[in-house]
Amino acid sequence: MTQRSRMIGVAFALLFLGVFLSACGASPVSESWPGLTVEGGMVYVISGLPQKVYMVDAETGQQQGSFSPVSESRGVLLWSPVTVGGDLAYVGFGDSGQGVSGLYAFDPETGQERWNAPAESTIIAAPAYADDVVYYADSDGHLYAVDAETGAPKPGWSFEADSAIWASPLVVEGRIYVSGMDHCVYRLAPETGEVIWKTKVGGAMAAQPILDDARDVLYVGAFNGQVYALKADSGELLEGFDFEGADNWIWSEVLVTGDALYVTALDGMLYALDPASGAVLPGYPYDSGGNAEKATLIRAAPVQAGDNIIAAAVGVADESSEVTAVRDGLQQWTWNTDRSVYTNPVVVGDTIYVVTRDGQLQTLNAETGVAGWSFAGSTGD
Amino acid sequence: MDLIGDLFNTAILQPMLNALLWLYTLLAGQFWLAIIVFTIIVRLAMTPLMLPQQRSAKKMQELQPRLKELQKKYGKDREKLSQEQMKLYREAGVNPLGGCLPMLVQFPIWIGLYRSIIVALGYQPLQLVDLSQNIYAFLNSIISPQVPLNRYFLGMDLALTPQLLGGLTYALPILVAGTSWLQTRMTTPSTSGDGGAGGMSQSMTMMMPLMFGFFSLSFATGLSFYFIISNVIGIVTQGFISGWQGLKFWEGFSLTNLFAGGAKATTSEGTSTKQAEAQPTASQKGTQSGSSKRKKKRRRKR
Repeated sequence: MTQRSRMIGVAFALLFLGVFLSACGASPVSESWPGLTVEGGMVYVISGLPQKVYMVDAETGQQQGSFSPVSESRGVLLWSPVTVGGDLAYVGFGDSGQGVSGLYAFDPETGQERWNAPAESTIIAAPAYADDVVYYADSDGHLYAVDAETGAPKPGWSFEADSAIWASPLVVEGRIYVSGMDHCVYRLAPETGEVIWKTKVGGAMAAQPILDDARDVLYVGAFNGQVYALKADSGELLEGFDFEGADNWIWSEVLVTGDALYVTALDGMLYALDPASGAVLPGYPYDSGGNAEKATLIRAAPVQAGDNIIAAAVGVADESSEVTAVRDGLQQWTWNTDRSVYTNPVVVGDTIYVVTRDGQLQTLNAETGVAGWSFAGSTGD
Repeated sequence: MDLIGDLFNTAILQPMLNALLWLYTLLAGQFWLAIIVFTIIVRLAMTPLMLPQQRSAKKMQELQPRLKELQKKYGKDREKLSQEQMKLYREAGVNPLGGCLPMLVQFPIWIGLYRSIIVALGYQPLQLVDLSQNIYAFLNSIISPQVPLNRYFLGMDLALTPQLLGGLTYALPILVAGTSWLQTRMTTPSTSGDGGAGGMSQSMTMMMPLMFGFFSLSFATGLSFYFIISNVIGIVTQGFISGWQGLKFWEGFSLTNLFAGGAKATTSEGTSTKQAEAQPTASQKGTQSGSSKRKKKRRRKR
């Protein structure tokens, strides 16, 4: 074997090795889905490349403004959905390339930043606004409380869970409830964050607990496929509530209506449960992959549009999506897209707002599912 | 490409991932322990493939004296030397690339394990969604309650890279490169390094560990952990098969030899081949004397 052929052989071997090893060493891309909020006639959506918060007129789809905490992004970006409170809007933002993570308050009319407050880790869930205080949580389990106008930390406030908090805190009538990836639901004292009660359930929770006012019961889904019903005042599990369980994780919030609970799961099913017993109602679960006989998952929470329950399912193999209106366990209409929809749809009046993973905002008629205007943030700015 | 991806997921990723997760549930929620046990299991499973190569490496060591003779005889004719070397390998039933082939065969396993670690230790939302779709249904009830997994070992996040973690985690790529080199050194003893398939093998066994070490800067530390454990097992196994001489890397070591395609190896008898080369044989002395005499004769004729 000549010197030349030997070197060629070595070069090919190294190239081969390099390709395989570089495949091993590739960094993960942004690993979340864009937030979507509709408030006061304005849609707040994370879209575009580079990603920004876009303010879009909810009626016409015309861009009204945008906000970005940084002039250029360098790493993986993670955004929370926007929360609007008072005159300001609030969004969690992180850029791994710049080591930036925090809550940003901006003027929705001008897109100008007002203040920012740091976080020790990424913020996944939407902040909560109540009584001039903004609560936001990070992936290290911290729940922060800051003044809504200035961003100053609330004096005396401190709370840390044992794992990430990926669910928005529920702040209602002076009560604060938090569910965490540490398998615990907490009720906290609103002034200090002190734990009033803590209930450990069988799985991690990435969904906000939802309060049924009439029953004073919290409902929350967990990664073990269960839905838990807790008495809001004591945290005790509701006796007699026994859901048979989904075949995969429950990620999203439970929808509480007058006579049923609706739950979606990563097994692609939409469940309807009796609020008292947890029994699955007749005609359910609705199998989102049933018509096409394909494996699907539903990450997005179910939302109500009139008499219909709206569920957004993603095909496991091809990542295409179907947004379906279901009534009494039967499909009423379906809107299809070749993009994935992981974000909770939002219903305002007779319009459903849906955003795909790549930031394409689409409106649908709530009655018919017919597509209306769409919007996408600019790319390459 | 979708078909290849689906095949990879079904045949490699999901079995490895679920095995890791199941071990995790058995081992008190310690992922680093699951990696160690999994590594041992993988090495045991690879034994039918690795053992012949390791025995071949031992035969290679025993062939060294005969290879040296061929080098002396055909040193100037590289093509002939290569032919005679390959003939010798064939007769003896050894493969000069023996140290490299097991490494190449393990590539799909490494890629599968890398993906398994990333999927299992997902710390961002879509990564967890991905995890949920790759857990076997019959294991879901015991694995799902464990999510999110404990991905720390000695304060080190097994899902992140040394580049992100910094500090002492930079020792991991060094350990990956070092143990890889020691293992390949033991399984691929050097030939003369000059010409032939042996020279190419020697270059690769030097460069590949270095490449591994370099690229492991970008690996999840859990994967580097696997490499180190796997290499140590390989070193120990090879040591029992062909002796521990290959571990004495300091004997005959020089940077020049390191990159010239032939670190000076020791024979199984423990004598340095460099020392053996330095002493001319009687026939060489005779040849040298004869040639100098002929030169003198030519000068006289002029």
